[in-house]
Amino acid sequence: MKKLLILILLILPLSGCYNYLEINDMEIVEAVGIDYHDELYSVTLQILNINQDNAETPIIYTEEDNTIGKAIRKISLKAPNQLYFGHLSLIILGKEMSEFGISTSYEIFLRDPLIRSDAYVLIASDDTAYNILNQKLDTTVFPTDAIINSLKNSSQKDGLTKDLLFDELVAETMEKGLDATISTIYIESVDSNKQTISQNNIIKLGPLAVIKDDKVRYILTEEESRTLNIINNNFEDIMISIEYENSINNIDITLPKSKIDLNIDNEKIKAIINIDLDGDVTELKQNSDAEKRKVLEGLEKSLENKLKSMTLDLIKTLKAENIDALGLKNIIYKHYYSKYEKYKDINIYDITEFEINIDTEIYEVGNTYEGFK
Amino acid sequence: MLSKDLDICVDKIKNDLHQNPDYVYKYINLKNNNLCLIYNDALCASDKIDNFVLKNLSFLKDEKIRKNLPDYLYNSIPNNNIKFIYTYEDIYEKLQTGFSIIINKYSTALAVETKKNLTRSITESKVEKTVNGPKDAFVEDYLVNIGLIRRRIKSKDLIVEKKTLGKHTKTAVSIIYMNDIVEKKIIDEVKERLATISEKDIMDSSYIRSSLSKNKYSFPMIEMTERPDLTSMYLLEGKVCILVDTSPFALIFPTFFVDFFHSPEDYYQKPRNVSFTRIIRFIAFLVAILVPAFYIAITTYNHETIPLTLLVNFAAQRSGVPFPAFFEAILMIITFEILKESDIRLPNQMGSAISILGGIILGEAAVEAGIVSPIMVIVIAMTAIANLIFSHVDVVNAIRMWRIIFMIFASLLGIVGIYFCSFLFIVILSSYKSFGKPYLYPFAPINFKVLKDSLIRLKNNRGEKNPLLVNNEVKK
Repeated sequence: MKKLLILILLILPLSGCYNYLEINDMEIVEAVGIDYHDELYSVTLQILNINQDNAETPIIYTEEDNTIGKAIRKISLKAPNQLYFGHLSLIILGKEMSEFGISTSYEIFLRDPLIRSDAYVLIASDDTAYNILNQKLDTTVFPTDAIINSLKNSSQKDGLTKDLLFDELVAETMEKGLDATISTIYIESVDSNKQTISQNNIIKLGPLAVIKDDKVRYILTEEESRTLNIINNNFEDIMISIEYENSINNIDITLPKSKIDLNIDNEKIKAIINIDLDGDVTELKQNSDAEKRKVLEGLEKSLENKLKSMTLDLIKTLKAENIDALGLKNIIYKHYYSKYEKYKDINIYDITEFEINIDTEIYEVGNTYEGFK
Repeated sequence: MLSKDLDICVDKIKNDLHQNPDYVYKYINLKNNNLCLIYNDALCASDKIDNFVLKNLSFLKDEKIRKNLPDYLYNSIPNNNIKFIYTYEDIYEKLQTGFSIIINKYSTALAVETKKNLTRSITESKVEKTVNGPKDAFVEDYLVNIGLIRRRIKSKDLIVEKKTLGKHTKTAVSIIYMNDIVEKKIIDEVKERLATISEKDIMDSSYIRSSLSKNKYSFPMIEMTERPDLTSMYLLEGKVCILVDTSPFALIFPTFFVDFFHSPEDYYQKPRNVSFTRIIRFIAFLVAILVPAFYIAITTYNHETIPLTLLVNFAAQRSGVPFPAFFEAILMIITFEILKESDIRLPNQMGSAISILGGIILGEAAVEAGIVSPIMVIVIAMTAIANLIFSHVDVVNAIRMWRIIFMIFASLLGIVGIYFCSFLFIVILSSYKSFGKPYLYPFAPINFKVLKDSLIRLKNNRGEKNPLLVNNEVKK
């Protein structure tokens, strides 16, 4: 007991109650927005409103300075309590920031142990981060939670976006020979001519943006974003419309097992894209019996054709824009390291021969065999 | 040596007993042989004296028989406990234990047992309640208690060794064990320790307990139970039991930490269901000892561990509470302990008043007034309820002590402090020894066979010999 007492007495002066903070004495920062304008960083903090009656209307603080850290310090003078970044869950980079260079924002999130770096990250495609965070939403949950839930849903169930954490973004941009992709967000204004219940604008998630040399170089179309996510196995299920016997049918593709192989043989580069997935019929707009093997094979065939043309479209765009979102150079860096220097600065898509193998299996057809016309 | 003169003899006894009014001196006049019957009014049953002693004495007519009166009385009085007495000291001792003494002029007195029944009858156990299984509990009369054990174990190997302790109380204490199972070393150690306190006056078995085990331990090293069925189970395992006259609680040792998670009822139900109950008890133990500390740690240091929506709720509820979380918790614990203590001491009729007061003051008014946050009320209430799973008061108190130690560590270092304190807790527990047996057995040292009946229960019945406790001859 005496020893225990001595131990406790020792802990008191030694620990000094390091980082002691009562929960009602802190401002819980849920989202950070970073904008860049006229050589000044503008930092916007979205802080949870502890008052339970208006939890869905957060408190917004914004400050400008020539570094992000200084701007945050200015906000901490404004806020009544201590800023707490332990629950930071969303980082939004403004449009000008993404054009200036996103890596200038890495430092503060990676070095400060009190600021969380595993927050989701988005790029505002044609607006400032401040406008996005300051937007009033029609939601009963916290606005940031609404954005994150929608990000997760659309990346799993639609394949349009990519739920990327900030430290993953840093890792991807640091990867040699890979142009990182990141989801975008934008405000869709309410059409004043339309009669709607809601008076508020809508925040919407957009397709993927490709980052090259620290800047957003190109924003893919929605179709291209989905194709990229299919090749990267970054979805749970995506609905794809295919044309079969002159009618539009919908197939849900699931269980992706795709991969890219790359061979260099006598200075000839050959990339093999293997797409392997399962499909479920969700809408069949014709009288043919879905149980019949022939019909299923026909559907599989047209699904494969559709996926193939989607992949070719994506490759065409990547080639035209000279961006390596598929990471072909990254495969060369990993498997043919000695040749990496040679291909580092050229448009790899110009000299690569592509082979696209698509293997799909349609299993589930639902309870009705024949389609309703 | 008793005097041959009846008057001198009785006068000496009267003087030695300080003329106490509760002693009754009844002279019986026969022709040549005057007798005096002495007994203690408080300890003796008057109907027994009337029916078995006085009735016989009044039939003393025959001259021939009177010549050897003590022998004649010894044979004629129908009593199973009748003794010749030759010294005054013996007279005084017998008078204190409910005997009636017949003094005569032959310097040989007779002591006849006419004890009044000063104990209550066997009732249902109040402290360790069960749904299934036997209901009887020990009473204050240790002979009845021995009877309750002997009814369950009808073996000649059940040894009852009697000792008398206390200079003034002269309390009967008996050591009970199974001769063919128990390790003799433990018996010797017990006798040795009892010998050192032979002069100590005993009021209850807990007096002996504090002498048998060193007091510095927070968790009890000797289990106290009022259930004869549990005592018999323990005896068959190879443990030793001490029964003390005037105490309805038996002492049982060596005790292991895991014993406090067991209830005799566990053995009257299906094993697999009992496993679940035991896991619940273990969770309750963790809740009782850790939850306030954990709450303090996560709300003052490790906020990242709380889900965001819950954090907002916590923060909203705590807004306006002026005290630090640690102080808030201590305040609530002290309030609850006062409430608990007063509820135990209070007469039954006032119990409902206390529960209304406690419910309203603790549950509502304190929160409304902004002294504590509602979540803290939940935390302390949860802890208190979890604590009540243990029927042993000493375990409950030990848990309370450790809860506060955990809270101090949590308020200094957060989760790291709790980790550190848990380490300390386990080190201290595993350093304990109850009569030379490791306290954390069967976990440390590990024994897989016994482990089947520890935190979970896979074995069917209790009462199998515990390999750590049995003597070496049985092990072979």
